[in-house]
Amino acid sequence: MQRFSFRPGDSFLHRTDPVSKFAWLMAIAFLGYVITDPVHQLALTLVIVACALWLARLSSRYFFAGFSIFLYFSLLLFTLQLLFAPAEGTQVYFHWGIFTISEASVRFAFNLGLRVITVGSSALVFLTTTEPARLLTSLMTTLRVPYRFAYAFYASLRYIPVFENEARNILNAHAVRGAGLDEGLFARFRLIRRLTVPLLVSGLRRAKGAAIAMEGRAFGAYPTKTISVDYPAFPAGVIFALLWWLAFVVYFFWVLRTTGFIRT
Amino acid sequence: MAYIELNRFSYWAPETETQLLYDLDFEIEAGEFVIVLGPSGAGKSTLALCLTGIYPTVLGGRTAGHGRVVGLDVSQTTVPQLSTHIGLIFQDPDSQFCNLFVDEEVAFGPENLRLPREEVGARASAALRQVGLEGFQRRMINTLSGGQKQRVAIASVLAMGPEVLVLDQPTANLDPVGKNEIYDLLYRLNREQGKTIVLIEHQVDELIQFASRLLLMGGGRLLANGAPREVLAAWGRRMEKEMGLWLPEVARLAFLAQDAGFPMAAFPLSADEVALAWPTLPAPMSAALATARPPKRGHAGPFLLQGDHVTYCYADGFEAVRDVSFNVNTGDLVGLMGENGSGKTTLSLHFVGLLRPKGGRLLLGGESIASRGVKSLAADVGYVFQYPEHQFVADTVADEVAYTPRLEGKQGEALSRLVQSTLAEVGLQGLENRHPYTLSMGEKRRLSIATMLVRRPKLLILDEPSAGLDFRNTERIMTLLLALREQGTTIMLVTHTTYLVARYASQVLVMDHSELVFDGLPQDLFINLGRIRTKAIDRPEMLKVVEALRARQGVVLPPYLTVDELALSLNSQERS
Repeated sequence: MQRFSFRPGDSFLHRTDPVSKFAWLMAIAFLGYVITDPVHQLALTLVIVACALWLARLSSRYFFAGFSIFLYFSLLLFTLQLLFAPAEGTQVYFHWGIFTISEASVRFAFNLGLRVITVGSSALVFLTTTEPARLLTSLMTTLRVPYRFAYAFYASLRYIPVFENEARNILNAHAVRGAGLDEGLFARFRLIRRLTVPLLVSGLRRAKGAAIAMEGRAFGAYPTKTISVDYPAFPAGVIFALLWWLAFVVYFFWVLRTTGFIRT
Repeated sequence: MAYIELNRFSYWAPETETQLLYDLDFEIEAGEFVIVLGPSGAGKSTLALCLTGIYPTVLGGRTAGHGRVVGLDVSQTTVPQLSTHIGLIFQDPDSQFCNLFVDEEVAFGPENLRLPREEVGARASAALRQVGLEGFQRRMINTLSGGQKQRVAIASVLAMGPEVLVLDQPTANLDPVGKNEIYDLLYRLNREQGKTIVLIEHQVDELIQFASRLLLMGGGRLLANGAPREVLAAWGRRMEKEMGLWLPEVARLAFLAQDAGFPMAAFPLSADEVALAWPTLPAPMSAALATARPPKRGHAGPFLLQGDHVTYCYADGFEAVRDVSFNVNTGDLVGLMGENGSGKTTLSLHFVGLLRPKGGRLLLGGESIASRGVKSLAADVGYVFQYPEHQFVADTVADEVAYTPRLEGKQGEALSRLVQSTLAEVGLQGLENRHPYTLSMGEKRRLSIATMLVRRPKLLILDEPSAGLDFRNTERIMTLLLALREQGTTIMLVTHTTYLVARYASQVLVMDHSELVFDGLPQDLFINLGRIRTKAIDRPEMLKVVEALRARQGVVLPPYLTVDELALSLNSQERS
């Protein structure tokens, strides 16, 4: 199964234009950043999961397969924060050598762990529901990005599933030589090092092939190109993104007020 | 009118200033179908890139002499201008796409030319119709078969409206189904729509009779230029013996007849032509040829590998292997064939423990494979992947071979002796300190075999061992495998190449739509091909000759699968 690539569909988020969806992604990132209450953070995470399952209509199997990767990183960061974050004068629950678990470190750990999941899974929703060609058209029409640059971004998206596939082949090819079967952090680093060279070599070869094929079809011959597909406008998507920004602004001011930055 | 005119045309690579093409002189007329042959490094791909203006305009370098395509100077014209007259298609469809959907890809060129929207749409539809992919507009490219992908690549070039198509080994990555799709398409584009085709290929058995001309290149020079029949007749022996190229089987047969003192009436390009030109042989020889029995190939050693109702399902529910049962004898050379996606690779990955059957059992030497890990199985089963680079983990050839023995604790003098003897076995001695990536394709594949060989596996599996190799390098690898087999190693070739199975296999397994549809001797497979559920296997050229001889001349020969088999029985008669 290929993760992190576009899957066709007709959900609310599929119909939302990429620029609005990107604005939504940004609103989530900002919101996740200003939230310091773990309960609120958890609420945000659950809302994103709900968006993925209902607004993007992703199958739970597919979504949670991607989700599990973020969970892994999230647990890693959670543990580090839990053990090493300063107590900042709050109640200390546990102390041993350099490790301290305190009320503050629990809060930091929850926040950071959940943030990773929130941002990661919203990015997953974005990649899965956004047809790259439509993103490209939006970049060129709405944001006026020159098409040579827009295409550089587009090409990189196209190669994600290709490289995923290739990485799997390489891992198999190494496994039968007895390489890459060890567990542990150092083994993981070695694995990444070994994967890098063959992927880089084939990446360069593919990039050259793609560049020649694009040149051979008049890519970049003129400063602009014909845009031959129209995507239907979807005002509800724009409103959706604006509501998220509104939520962020309201929450931000509420935080400023409750922490005493703004006096009423 | 000449569409391509080269006059003392030379090319030097950028930076190194190495001369890659020397004084090329030829013309290609409108509507021709030209095949370009030559060993690797002959300059074929360089020529393709020069004709399309990629060299020198995009990738640099310099040219001398004159090169014109439809009247435009290839060194002076911009690539976008040239691209509306000549289009280039490569070997790997995946690296020439820059869009996700079929319609986007086909419209990409016309959009870049800033054609009006209506015309972009019209051209894209027309191009898809030309390649027989109407209705595929909204399909994602990565869900298509290899042949369909390559047809999309051709459509997206056709949408630019070129008169000439240059194709650089367009079928090298395809299975026989895909290959035949592309050959049919090229034939139609040439005959029905008058497109001029320049095709670079290695194996041209099926195509040669459609070609109007053959260009033979070597060392950046044009060695021969003429009708395929004349070029093959004059150069064929040197092409095979000195340049190591794949020669059509019928041409090899013609040379065999010449050597035996009974030349054919005309140099043949197809099985039918062999039947028409078949020499009159003395009665005893005819009789002997007709009664000869090809050597029996079956092997009666004990079972090494057994599948017992093996089933495998992927996480998305796709059943890639369904209820497959078979036995492989120790010391056999097995061909595992089938269309791409038929389940043959999935099945073979089970043999090294990379996949575990969801149902049924797999036994190696009578022991269940499922109870062993990849690490332990790797000592008994070697797997040579199609792309050797994927398997390399070290920075020198010697370290590459030493890698696994080192993991097992071998070191010092014993290790270096083992490395040396293994490298000698695969013919790579003297290259110990080279980086594996700098080897030639044939050397890389032999190194890849060496890394498996060093553990003396009982079973050695090779995925497409002849991919990207010329005849000489393929023969070298097969000779190496035959020697291993003599020592008792069981060999399995996962392959589309009929020639390898016809010539070397003692058993064939054929997968189709997740099921095993044939398990038996190669002769039985190829003779009964029409009755076996598979589209992915080409009939051996020699067998076509046997059938044509019977149909046209009433000459009855036993079902020889390769010219080599016929040669063997000729030799054995001479001896007797």
